[in-house]
Amino acid sequence: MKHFAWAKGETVLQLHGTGPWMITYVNPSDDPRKPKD
Amino acid sequence: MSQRLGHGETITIEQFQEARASVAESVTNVPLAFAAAQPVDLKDFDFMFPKLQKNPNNLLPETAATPANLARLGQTMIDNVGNDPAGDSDISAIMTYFGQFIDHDITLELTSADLTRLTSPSLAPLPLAEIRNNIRNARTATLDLDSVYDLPAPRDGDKMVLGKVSPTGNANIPLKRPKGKGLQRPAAQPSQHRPGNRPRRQHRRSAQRREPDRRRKVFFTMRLLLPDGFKIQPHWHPKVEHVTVISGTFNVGMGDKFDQTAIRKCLPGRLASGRRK
Repeated sequence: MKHFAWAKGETVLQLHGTGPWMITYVNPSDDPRKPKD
Repeated sequence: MSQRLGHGETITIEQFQEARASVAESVTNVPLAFAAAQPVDLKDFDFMFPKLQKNPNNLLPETAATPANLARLGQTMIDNVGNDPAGDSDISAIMTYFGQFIDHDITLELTSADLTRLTSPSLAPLPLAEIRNNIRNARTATLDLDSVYDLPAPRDGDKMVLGKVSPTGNANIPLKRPKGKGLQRPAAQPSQHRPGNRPRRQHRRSAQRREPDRRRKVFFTMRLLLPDGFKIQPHWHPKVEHVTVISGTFNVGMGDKFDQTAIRKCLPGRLASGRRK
């Protein structure tokens, strides 16, 4: 299920689950892991 | 956090939080969608026998004589046998060092830096409420190794990462970090993922560049520190993830387009689960 989010105020989250944990962006250009031009 | 805290030195909670924030800032560069860092999570110390504190007769008298008597008590513990090895303990020295290592990893008291020194003639007991409310532990009861690495310490699944030490063949003790190893400090550059588009610090520690455990097929837990206004653009995960809001407000929307009007607000304590794609 595709989803998005934003934080209001400094926000701390705790994630848990069974790996591998990966994230795929709908729009690859949104991926902050990729260097910006 | 590049400074080393000497034995017996104290730091204030502000200094500690600043150092922790600096680490959190540095891990924003870990190649994940957002920052992974543990906030300063203060715990109670409290008393081993809290009920005893309710009766003033159980407490030391608050007189000038009490500090002097405590000092006399301390004097009785001083070893007066000199260097005679016959008086040495049979307990291995490693017990002392390793015990203190564990102690430093599970307790860090930051308030006393601002309190009256124990040797001061004006030393007075702290009120119970102040002890309970203000004397806090900045570490956790688990062996996180944050006293060595700060958080997050490198882990191998549920275990600590073990490394190997090999001889270098160099008789000279290295006093400087080898060139190209450890801290990397490339020039700061602007980022669109920080409020105000401020440049973010780029230094990383080698431990933080380690391949994250969450990429393996093992149970993982991680914490994310999101700055105010931080946006996570539409995405999906190949596996289920469970998210608990620890503090702040996390707004979540479903769909493949970012829409600030279609949200579900999650406040602290809220647990959300993201299904697979």
